[in-house]
Amino acid sequence: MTPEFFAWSHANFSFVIDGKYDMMSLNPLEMTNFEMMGTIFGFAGLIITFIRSRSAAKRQKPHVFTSQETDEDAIY
Amino acid sequence: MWRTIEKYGVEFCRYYLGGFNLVSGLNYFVLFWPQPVVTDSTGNEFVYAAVQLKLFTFAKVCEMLGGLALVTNRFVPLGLVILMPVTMNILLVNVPWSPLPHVQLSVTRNFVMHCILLAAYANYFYPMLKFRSAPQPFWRDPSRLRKSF
Repeated sequence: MTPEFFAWSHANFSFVIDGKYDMMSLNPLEMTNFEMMGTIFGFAGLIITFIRSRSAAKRQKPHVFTSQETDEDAIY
Repeated sequence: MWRTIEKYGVEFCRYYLGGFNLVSGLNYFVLFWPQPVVTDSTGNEFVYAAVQLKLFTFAKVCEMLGGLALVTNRFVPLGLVILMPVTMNILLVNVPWSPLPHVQLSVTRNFVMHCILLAAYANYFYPMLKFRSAPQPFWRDPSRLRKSF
């Protein structure tokens, strides 16, 4: 069997809010259950981030990794 | 403006990928929804073998742990590393072999989001790019593990 690289030539762009999803559709609004959960988590996370943007940003900063070399506990 | 898009874009990717993988992993054990039906394609032979060897169960545990790390914003770089083999396998099995455009698009989107997150958390991965590396074993000072938290 030959691989069908990007079977998008058969795809459509349909979208109906009927609780079902068309696996031939490339419309990003046509979502599987997992994609729907990802999107819900994504937007809920954005709202949480927006609300906590002032307090959380101060607590969580990128760490500084020192680039100095050391002999301590090294294996030679 | 760019900084805002950058910040919230990375946050969205983290929550999306985390939520997707967490629910996908949980669904294997709890079964909120019926498991996705595997379509007839050559890549499925690999999937069937993985199910028989219980590799699928292991992958789902990885999905749950990685997804939980991303959603809770704890151990995110570790979560990305745990999830990478899963994302990569799904991409390689589905994009060339799945006859469904929606699946191809979905796994490609997850892979792109994963790459964006790896790039966003690049500061945790730079030490891996040391050209000449030397060992400094964990067992000579185990307290370093605790300090790294």
